Amino acid sequence: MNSLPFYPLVWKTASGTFRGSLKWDMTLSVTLTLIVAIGFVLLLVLQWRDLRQRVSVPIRWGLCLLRAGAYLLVLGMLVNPSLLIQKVLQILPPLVVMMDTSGSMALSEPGKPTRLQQVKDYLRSGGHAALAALAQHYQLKLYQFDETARAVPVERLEDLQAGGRSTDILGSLATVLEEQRSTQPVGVLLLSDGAHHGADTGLGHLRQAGVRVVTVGVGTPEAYRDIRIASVQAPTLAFVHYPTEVNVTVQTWGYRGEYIPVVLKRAGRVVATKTVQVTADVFEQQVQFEIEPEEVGEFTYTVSVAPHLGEALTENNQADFPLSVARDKIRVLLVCGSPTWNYRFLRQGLKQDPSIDMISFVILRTPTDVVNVPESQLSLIPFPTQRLFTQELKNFDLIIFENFSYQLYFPWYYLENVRKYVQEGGAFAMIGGMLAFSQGGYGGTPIEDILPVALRPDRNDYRTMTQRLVLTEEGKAHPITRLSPDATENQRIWDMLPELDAFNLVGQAKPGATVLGISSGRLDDPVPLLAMQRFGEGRTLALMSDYIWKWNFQMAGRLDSNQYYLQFVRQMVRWLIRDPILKQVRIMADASEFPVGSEVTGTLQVLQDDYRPTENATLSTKLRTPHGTETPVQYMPTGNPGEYRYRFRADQEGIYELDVQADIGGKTHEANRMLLRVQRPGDENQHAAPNHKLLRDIAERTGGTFFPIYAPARPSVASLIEFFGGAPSYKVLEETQLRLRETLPLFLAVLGVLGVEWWWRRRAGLL
Amino acid sequence: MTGERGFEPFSDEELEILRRYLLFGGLLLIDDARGNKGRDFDASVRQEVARLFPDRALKILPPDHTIFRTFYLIRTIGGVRIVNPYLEGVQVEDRTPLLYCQNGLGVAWERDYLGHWVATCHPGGEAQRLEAFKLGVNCVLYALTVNYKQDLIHLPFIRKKLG
Repeated sequence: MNSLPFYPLVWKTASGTFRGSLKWDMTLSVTLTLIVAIGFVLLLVLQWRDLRQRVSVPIRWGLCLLRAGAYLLVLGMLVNPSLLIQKVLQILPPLVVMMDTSGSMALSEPGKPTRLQQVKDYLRSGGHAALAALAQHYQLKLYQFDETARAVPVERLEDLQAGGRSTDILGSLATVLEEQRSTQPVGVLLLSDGAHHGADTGLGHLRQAGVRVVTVGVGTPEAYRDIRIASVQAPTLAFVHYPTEVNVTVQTWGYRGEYIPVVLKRAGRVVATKTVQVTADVFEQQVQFEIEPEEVGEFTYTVSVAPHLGEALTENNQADFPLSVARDKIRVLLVCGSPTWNYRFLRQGLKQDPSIDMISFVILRTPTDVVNVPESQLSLIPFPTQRLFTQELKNFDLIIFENFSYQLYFPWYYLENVRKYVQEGGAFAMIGGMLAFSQGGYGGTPIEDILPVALRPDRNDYRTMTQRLVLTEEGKAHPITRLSPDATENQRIWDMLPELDAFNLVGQAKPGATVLGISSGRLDDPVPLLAMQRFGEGRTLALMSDYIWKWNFQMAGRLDSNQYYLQFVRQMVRWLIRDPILKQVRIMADASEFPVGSEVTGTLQVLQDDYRPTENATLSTKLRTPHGTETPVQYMPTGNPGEYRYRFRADQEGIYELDVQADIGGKTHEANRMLLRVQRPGDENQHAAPNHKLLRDIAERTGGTFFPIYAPARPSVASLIEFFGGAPSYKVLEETQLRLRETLPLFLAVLGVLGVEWWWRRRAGLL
Repeated sequence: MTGERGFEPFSDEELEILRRYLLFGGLLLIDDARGNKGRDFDASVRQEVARLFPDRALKILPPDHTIFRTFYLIRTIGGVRIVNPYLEGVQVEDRTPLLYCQNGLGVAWERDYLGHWVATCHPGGEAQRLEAFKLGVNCVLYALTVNYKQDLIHLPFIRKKLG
């Protein structure tokens, strides 16, 4: 059976959509049917010639036409036609509509609704009502997108809000095209401001998808006004009194010709100001600041530009960055009473550490020594005691008296200056020998006050007797004497270190002091050989032997390595100067950055003086928010000794400063500080300039077209429909076939035509 | 270490121990008591030093080397005779752990049981002996203080004294 469809005969009724077509089923073969048809034509010719002399021309035409009609009806019956009526389901071609609902779409320009509302107006209301018009021709697939694309029911269009934290136009477009690949949409209508924060790499692949994208630009790039601190490049670590460069990139839109001050602050205090001269509508310039930190610590710096009139965003006018300021060098004053191997190897140990800047004085000649050459032939220099001990003390981080007796070189009250220096945060160490401790005349001086051990009243405390330094329980965990993280290995190392050939016999450790090492030699009772304590804000250490050089030289002879001695010296110095990595209150955060509105969490660890965790600490916490308010922070013990979990909610963008101080057994440890960066996720609050160039690129690469939503010459919806094209497809639900040969009307029609011809012939006198 | 005649080469083990001693902080002063250049003790010393530090040669120490200013400001090299008006040494990083003198320092220092000098210093006499003592003191202090006199704080004073 063949069919003759007669499109577009499609009609809709209340019961559905219908489509009609004509079909035939020939009784005879085509050849016979043609022979019959030819026969009918010959008969008509004969009839025409027969009537030519008998009737007038009009009657002749009328009779022939009636006969021709009869023949056609007969031929029609031979063809056996039937009418096919189908109830169908009309399937419109899909068209994807993508709407940008990122945060930047909430922005508006003077006198205009928000960018998102402009999109809604275009799609929904007014004379355009593009969505309704498009829906008549296309099956609309509506998506909203920001970082990713999500399908949205069309009826929920009005509910959509602009709030996405970032925009990835190309990524969202690729996702949608992949999702709709099986439906083969006729195109994509994409409405966005073009502010794109994703990668630009997807642009080249769009053409391969074979789908044309019509982009509609929202927002007016020429009217956008904003000043943005686009980036801050600063080191995380700087050194006191050393200039550090901070590079700030400032971007502006719409402030051509203006001078914009860029301010660098620390803790609200202006550190420096630079001015940017804006020379273009869209402008970018790098500003370089040089800062010279004046003190050690953790600091928050802020780069900002005051909000200007008409700015779309003010959140991006400021950027905070943390800066850890450390000592450039650890400045050590080493005073040695005579040249010895202990001095030689201690000097080597300190000199080998690149972070240590050491000034040393060795007494090469005492005032009582006689030299048989003129002074000009000696390399000796004066020992500038007055300058060192009255003016320069504060310039040192650590003072070491190594086998040194002050008595011949400076008055007693200089020692009081040393005591004050330690009280106020300095560090002091005394290393033994014949000129140290009691034998050096320090009994009853301010130095005795600051030493962690009591001095014996008799001045002959130097003993030439072999002793091994044995770690106490505190010494096994302390960062000075921990030469290996593994306790067993640490013990093995200390057992291996050579014995000391002599030592200073001192009294007991003072209350609050910690003994790290004791003697294990032929003494009735072990005596302290290594002890330390905190004194005021500072720290002191006593090492009661001038034979620790053996830990260097003899170990090198045994092991080809003097590493343990060097490690011991390095750790001793760092503990004394309160190196931040050896702080007894440790603050750790679970992440390096936290999003605004999230809960900031982390762990606190409190160690006692021997660096073992303590459960007896009382913590005081202080949290300074980016806006400057101060609050305590909640913390809970974790169950592990000396360990706590802290948490707080961070609702402000910027840097939070968390200070934690521990009170252990009545002693308050210096506070530790951690800077926690809290950022607003995404880029919408940073960069929201309309980027119609990107939208134009997308359209061009996909064979689509671009137009701004407010363009006077924007295409009509009808033009868009014509541009996208596409025809509906149908699915047959029901089918009805009516055979016309078997119907009475056709039979009556044949009879009727023949009857009329008969009647006319009779009237014309032909019958 | 001093001597007059050539000596048997050190064993490898002895050399290794000596090398370790010098590299990790020790100082060796070699004094040629006879001063025969290229022969006897000198030949043996140079041979052993070459074995000891195959990649470091004995070099003449410059006049501003720390060894000449650790205590005395030394301008001339003393000894019982002046074979070399200079001191030689092997440099390891920033220090010179091996010093070599061919002027017979030990002979110049030596007294008999009655306290008399065992040898006369030629050609400089007692002034030359004094220089030998001064060099000896400086060597001891160099062993104990290494480059202490190179610290910046010393330099202006030393320069001033040296004119």
